[in-house]
Amino acid sequence: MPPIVELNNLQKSYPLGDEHLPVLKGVSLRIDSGEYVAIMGPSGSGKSTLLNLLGLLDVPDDGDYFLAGNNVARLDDDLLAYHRNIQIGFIFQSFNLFQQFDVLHNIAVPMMYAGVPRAHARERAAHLAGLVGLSHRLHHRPRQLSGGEMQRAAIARALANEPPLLLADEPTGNLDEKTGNDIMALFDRLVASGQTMILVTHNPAYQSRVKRTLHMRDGNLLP
Amino acid sequence: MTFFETLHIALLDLALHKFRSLLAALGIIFGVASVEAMVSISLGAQTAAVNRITALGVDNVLVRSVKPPDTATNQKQGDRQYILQYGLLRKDLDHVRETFPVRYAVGSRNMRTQIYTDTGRELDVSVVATEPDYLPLTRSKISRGRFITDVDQRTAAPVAVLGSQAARTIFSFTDPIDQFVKVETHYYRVVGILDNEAAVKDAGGDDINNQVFISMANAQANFGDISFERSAGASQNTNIQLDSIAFQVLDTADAVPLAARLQAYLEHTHKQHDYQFLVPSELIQQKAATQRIFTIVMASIAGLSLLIGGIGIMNIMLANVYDRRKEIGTRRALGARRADILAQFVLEAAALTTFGGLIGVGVGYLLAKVISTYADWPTIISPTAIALGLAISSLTGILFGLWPARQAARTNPIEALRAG
Repeated sequence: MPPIVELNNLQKSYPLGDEHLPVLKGVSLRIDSGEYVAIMGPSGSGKSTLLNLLGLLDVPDDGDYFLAGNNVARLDDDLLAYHRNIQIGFIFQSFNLFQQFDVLHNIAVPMMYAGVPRAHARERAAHLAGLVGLSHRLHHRPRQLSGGEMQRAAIARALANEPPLLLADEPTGNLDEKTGNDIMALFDRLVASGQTMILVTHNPAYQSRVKRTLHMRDGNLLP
Repeated sequence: MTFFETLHIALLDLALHKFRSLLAALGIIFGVASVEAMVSISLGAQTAAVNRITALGVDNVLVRSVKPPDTATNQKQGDRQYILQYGLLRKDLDHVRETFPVRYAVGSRNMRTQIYTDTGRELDVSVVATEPDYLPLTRSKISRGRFITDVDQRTAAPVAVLGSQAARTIFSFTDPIDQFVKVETHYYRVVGILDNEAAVKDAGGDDINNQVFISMANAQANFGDISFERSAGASQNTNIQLDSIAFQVLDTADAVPLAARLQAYLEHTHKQHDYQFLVPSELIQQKAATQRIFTIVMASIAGLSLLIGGIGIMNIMLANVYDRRKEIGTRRALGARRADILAQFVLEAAALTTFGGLIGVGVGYLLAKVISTYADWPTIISPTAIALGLAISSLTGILFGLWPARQAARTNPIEALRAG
């Protein structure tokens, strides 16, 4: 079984005036199926850029990225969208739910983009809502939910197409400590069921929960 | 993502911002409403005009006697026993009958006299002398009795046929058949009632339902060619043989050329220009030409108002795209392709304008109804105009939604996700 993520000498720089500012200076990394990894590091260390590359929101200047065995480092925009849709589940700091939809519809959105028939998508969305403990909130709009409930809905949405990789960017950054702990417990449960997960965080509370912590400094992963 | 799913999302988003959506659609609503109302009114006016003209008969040609301009008669002012003489002649009618390929040719004479009630009240009906063929030529019906016949014409029988309106005016609740109508010193027995449903005023003719018809032969025997007219204190003796000649051609296409031929003949034989042509088929052509101009003007106005409406939509959609950068970024992260985002926003703009078009059609319908009720203008609601209004409003949405949607689709997902 190939690793879920394999990065070889990944490089990325951004134009800054006339020059190019290197943000990732050759990152190599291997993450196996079922791993639970935290990426930590100060602001500007390149961890957000790494997350964007891992999430296929951006492409590297150089190097290779094998996602579940496929090289995805040089795909066109439509193929990137396709792989994001079925291989990756995003969890955001500010939840990013669609205000115009109810919880059920929010969870179903990635399945809509995958072409899953509507009835089946709703059925699965309801199942996922149950999984994250939102069965009683199916027809509530996001603004009627608490922060923890919103993040639970977002997690259910990230799981919609059963992606091999979950990416979370400060998933508990907008939540109070107790709710944050509940969400962390939910992550623990997902990982225990075999889900691979990478999160970017400043929160040291994760360190005791994840199996592996990667530290970034100045565009490099510390050994 | 299927079309209906995308449409569903578009509608949900419009519903989320009901007031903003309504404001955005306002330009389209008023644009479509004014177009619908204008089309209804113009169509109504056109149909009414064509009906009026058609009532005269598109295969008919009508020539009427008109008083020539004063300059032509001024020279005779010195005469003591002055009789104004002008108008169409019996020999003109004979010329038409003998040399023109016509179905009917009929001369009529307005007797320039009034009918009075027993108590001496003047009635608003006119007395017309005419011939039997007047009935088929005007496509009138006889609702009771008969029209003037060839026998009446030969014997100069003192009989009269009343137009339905004239019958009501003169006899009110009495059965007019076999009653007598007094025209000056002569009595006429009523033998029939004429009814012409299509007849209307302002068609360049008189309402033939409001006339009393006597035979031409009798009119000549009883009254001769000279009429005594009194108007505004002045009196005038007029010698007119015929007030109008009407003929019906065998083929409608002959109406205009035959009218031209008669005109050439009259110009040649009459010293003064004492006649006037009325050719319904020509009028319809002129009407069509004016209608074309009106249609062009209206289409321009419609185009302009929809352009303004479209720019309003574009403006709102651009703001909408900017406001929803985060949603766009999230959708892209969840797997939406650029094409999905493009389709979403185009469909949203199209849904907005189609919805505006629907309301606009409704408002336009009401507007047309209100105008036809209060201004007494005929209006016609055309299904084609409604379909066209909706189609154009949808198209406006697609067209003006395309640019903002493109902006949305080109948004960089990373930057979009960073947006508040």
